[in-house]
Amino acid sequence: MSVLLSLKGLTLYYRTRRGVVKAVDGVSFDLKEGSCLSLVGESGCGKSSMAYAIMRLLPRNTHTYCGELIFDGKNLMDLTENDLRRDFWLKKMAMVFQGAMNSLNPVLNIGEQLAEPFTIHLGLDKLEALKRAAELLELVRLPNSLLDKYPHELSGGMKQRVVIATALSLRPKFLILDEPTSALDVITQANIINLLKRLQEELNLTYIFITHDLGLSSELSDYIAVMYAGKVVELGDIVSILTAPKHPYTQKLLAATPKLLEDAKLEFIPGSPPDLAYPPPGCRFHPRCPYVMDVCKVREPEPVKVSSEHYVSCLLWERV
Amino acid sequence: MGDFVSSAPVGLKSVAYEVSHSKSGLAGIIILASILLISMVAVFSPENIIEKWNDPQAWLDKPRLAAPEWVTIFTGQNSLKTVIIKQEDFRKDVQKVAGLNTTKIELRARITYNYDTIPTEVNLNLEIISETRSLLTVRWVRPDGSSVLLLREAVEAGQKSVFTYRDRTVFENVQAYLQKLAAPSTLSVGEVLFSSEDSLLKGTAKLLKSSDVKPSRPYELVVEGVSESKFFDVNAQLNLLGSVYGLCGTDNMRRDIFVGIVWGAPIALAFGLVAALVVTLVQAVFGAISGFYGSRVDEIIQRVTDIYLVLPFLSLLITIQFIYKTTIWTLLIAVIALSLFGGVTKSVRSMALQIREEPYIEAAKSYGASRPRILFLYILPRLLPYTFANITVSVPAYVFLEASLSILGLGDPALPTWGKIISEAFSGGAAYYGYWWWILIPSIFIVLVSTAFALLWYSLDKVLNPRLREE
Amino acid sequence: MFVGFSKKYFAKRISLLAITLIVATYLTVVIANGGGLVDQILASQIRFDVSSTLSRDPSFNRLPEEEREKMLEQRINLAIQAKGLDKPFIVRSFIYLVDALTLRLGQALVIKSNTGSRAVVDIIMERLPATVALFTTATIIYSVLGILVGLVMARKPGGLFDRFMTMLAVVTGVIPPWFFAIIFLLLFAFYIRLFPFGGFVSVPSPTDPLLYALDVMYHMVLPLITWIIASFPFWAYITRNIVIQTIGEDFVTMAKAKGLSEGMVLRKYVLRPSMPPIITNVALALIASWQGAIITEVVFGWPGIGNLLNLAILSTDAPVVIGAAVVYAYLLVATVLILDIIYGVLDPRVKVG
Ligand SMILES: Nc1ncnc2c1ncn2[C@@H]1O[C@H](COP(=O)(O)OP(=O)(O)OP(=O)(O)O)[C@@H](O)[C@H]1O
Ligand SMILES: [Mg+2]
Repeated sequence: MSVLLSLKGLTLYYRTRRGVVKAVDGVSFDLKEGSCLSLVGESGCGKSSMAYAIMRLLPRNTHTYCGELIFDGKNLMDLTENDLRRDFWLKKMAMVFQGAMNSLNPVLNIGEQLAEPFTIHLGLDKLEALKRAAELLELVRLPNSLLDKYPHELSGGMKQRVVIATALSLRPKFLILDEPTSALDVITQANIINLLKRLQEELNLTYIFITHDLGLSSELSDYIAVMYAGKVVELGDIVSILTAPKHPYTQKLLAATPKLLEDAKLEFIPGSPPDLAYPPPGCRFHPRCPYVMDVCKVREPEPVKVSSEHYVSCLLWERV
Repeated sequence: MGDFVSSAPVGLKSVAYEVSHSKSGLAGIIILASILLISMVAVFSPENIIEKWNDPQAWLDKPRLAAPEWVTIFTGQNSLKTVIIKQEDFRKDVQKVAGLNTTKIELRARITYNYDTIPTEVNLNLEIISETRSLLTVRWVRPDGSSVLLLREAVEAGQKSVFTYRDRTVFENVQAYLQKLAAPSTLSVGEVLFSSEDSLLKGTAKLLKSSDVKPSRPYELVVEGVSESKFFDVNAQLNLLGSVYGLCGTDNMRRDIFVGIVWGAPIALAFGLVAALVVTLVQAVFGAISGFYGSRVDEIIQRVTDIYLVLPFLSLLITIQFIYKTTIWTLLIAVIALSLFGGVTKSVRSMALQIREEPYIEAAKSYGASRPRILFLYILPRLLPYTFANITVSVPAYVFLEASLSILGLGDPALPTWGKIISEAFSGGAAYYGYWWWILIPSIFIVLVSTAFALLWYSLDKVLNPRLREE
Repeated sequence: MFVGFSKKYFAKRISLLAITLIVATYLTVVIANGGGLVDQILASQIRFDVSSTLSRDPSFNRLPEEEREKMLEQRINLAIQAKGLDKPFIVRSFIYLVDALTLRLGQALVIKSNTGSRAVVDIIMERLPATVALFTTATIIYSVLGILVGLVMARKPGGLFDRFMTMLAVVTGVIPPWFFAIIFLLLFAFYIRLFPFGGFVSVPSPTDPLLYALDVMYHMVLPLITWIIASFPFWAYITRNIVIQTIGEDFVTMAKAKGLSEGMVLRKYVLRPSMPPIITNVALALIASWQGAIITEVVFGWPGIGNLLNLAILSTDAPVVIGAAVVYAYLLVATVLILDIIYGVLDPRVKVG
């Protein structure tokens, strides 16, 4: 399998009143075509920002955006926004936003919003586009009576599916899903996960699946990347990560994940994640790390390969 | 109709800090402090300006429609500022004519006149104390030695004002003088008085300054009274009124606009502040009750608010003022009564709805705190910053409301308010004839106050809605 | 784009507005009768009605002068009783409320309409077009301008233009248009002599209809400019705030990620969903604007209702003052109703509400 997406030192900083927020700070990894990567981490560690950075959908207060971002053999950094609009967004890469509840325009009906990609990118006429929109609804198992409904008339799960359907409209090969299920009840959640699995098989999609639910990510993904304070601290295939986590943060994260029907006492990680405007020097996890060494406070760890597809950024492992 | 843009609750301390540390907030505070200082002058002054303001007699020693004195800096002209020769500045000469039981009094005023313009008015106020009628002669002596007889008549005892430019007798005497010189009779009294006799002989009027003769000599006004009364006295005051006066100029009733500005300041501030404060607080309390109590109370308050929002506020006020002609303070009550509910009710309600859901309110409830207690001790304090912001934006609105009513002739009947000055300026044709100071000076003050409050609001809003002020 | 009306929403709004109208009119009646003015107006109306019916009766006209007087008085008394004017005020106030709401506003004391009628309705209706023309033209221009400028401001929040316009909005937001009017008259009419000092047409007015129209427009320019300058910054500011909030919504980013052009995102995903809250927020401003119109008209001598109101105050013509107040209540309610309808069309959520 070839590499579809390759990041090198991808960086995204925001300008705010408090200072520069380093939401994504030099992230590097490769993603193979047809695989699924889960991106996990505490709230505010920069997962969504990473998704925006990969999509090159930058907020207005972007301060720094740099690094290498090779997608399908092209460095997206070299392209203009017009190139992206014409050839990439929705056609090759699409994203389902974290706030699916708010991802639909409240004053346009579903049909119009679903048909838009067809009229704009494929130049179909209105009727034809609506027909395709109906097919999309079918793909995500929704009745096509929704076409002339407005977003406020839909349930959360329905909206989530409509958003996924929109993302799939032009059959992209790459999809980022930002917590597509966190606002839903378990049954709807399971439905959506099944839908995603089915779509992956049917359409041979490559996913990045953002969640803070490690259980969910194990359902879907081949790889897991653990993010902490704007950096990927550990990345590996799902089995290695779940059975042999190397980074102290990953270990804590796993220990803090509730497991159904098990009575194990939940641990929680003492302290709170750092302010990304003023991250601690050295390893960003050091203030909360149980194994902290003096060197952790001054040196930033580099990714270390611990097995064929498993990397960790921790000075404990660098020394070994 | 939907929700209003609302702002998140913020602590009072941080608000005070941010406002006093932002440029706009500081500017607002400085402007307001200066205006407050001006108001203090009016508030603590012992003078009864309000009575004086409406008494035309009190302003006779001021020129009509004079521009502010500082315009001379721009025109480069040495325009006449008001010159007043008081009673004690006249040289008095009393002669008893022996045997005839007659007293003759001569008063002589000297005016060194080196201005570039002639006075707009020359007014003489006389006080004659006598048992009988007396003979009065008034003569005008120019620096070149020539003289003009202004008055010679028998007068009753008492006060007498001679507006030389408009007085019939003076006019006739001046005409006789012109005829004697064979000068054109179209010249005005002022031109005749202040021109050299030479130039009049040539048929033109050329201003004669004291310094035009060598050595420099003043103009003189000579008043002579003759009476047979046992006691006899004459006193005089001479007012030479210019085309410029004071800091702010005068209006068409000779009133010093500066006085109006100073005394109008506390009225504007008091009216604006009281109205804004009471209206905002009342609306906020209703809004908080509406949001916090919910259900029927909420429904009723919201519907009443909807009605209030569409009430023709101004035309109702106009009707009230038209029929009852109330003072500004009664008007204030009417304003408040017509604004018990409004925009603030709506936005405070939506904020109260949010606050109601917060854990510490739940906690307070579980301690058994009563609902009014929670409302006043927990919810309302959280809304104070927003309330302050709203008070600051609404003060200018009420200052202008008073002005609006004044324009319609429905202002306070007695008080000198800024709005009334502007409206009198407008109806006095100030825009039409270009008496700019009469309009602009009170306008600048009203805008200054408004801007100060707007600046304060701006700095407050920055704290309350940081999201809207990114970058 | 058309969404279909929600009967419930409109029933609710219309009944509310009807109540508002009744409350406003009733307040006017109660306030006015403090000076016994309402009774006076009622009496004048009855006298007029009775005498005009009688004068159409030929047998009445044949009677001698004295008889006629007597008969007239008799009929008037009868009519007063028939109408219930001998009843206590609480009853009379409702009689007059109904009269006022049906625009039976009595006879003016001093003012006459151009056609010579003394009926307050005629006098007011004659002035209404001028008011509505000026107001709607100004409102349309400044709202469009305001929205456009607001969009530009929202492009770079905190930028120089944004901060300047925000300051301007804050300051003009508290200064009523008539205030600018006076200053502009001094500036443009007195000093620059670019525009007339006010009025509707020149005197004497041009006879050619085209020239007449041009002359009216020429007189309208300064009032319009004044009104626009006084009002558009506030609309721009409101638009800016709402647009900034909308731009932050996920559906806007999503629209961008769908590959829509920037213009399309702006139109369909930013401006369209911003319209309903913009309308909600400017409703209050529009109501204030209507009331400010009274004084702006006075300053420009624009022959609308505001000017009529001023004239009525100067000549203490109470029926006209009260009539104008009632008509203003109608105008405000009509404005809000129009806004409600636009809101209903623009916001699909109203459909179920
Ligand atoms: N547009 C922005 N401007 C400024 N700061 C931002 C912006 N978006 C995100 N941030 C900040 O960047 C950091 C990372 O945010 P991000 O949304 O990427 O986190 P996340 O991992 O997706 O969190 P969550 O799990 O809650 O969605 C946070 O501290 C957040 O406050
Ligand atoms: Mg996120």
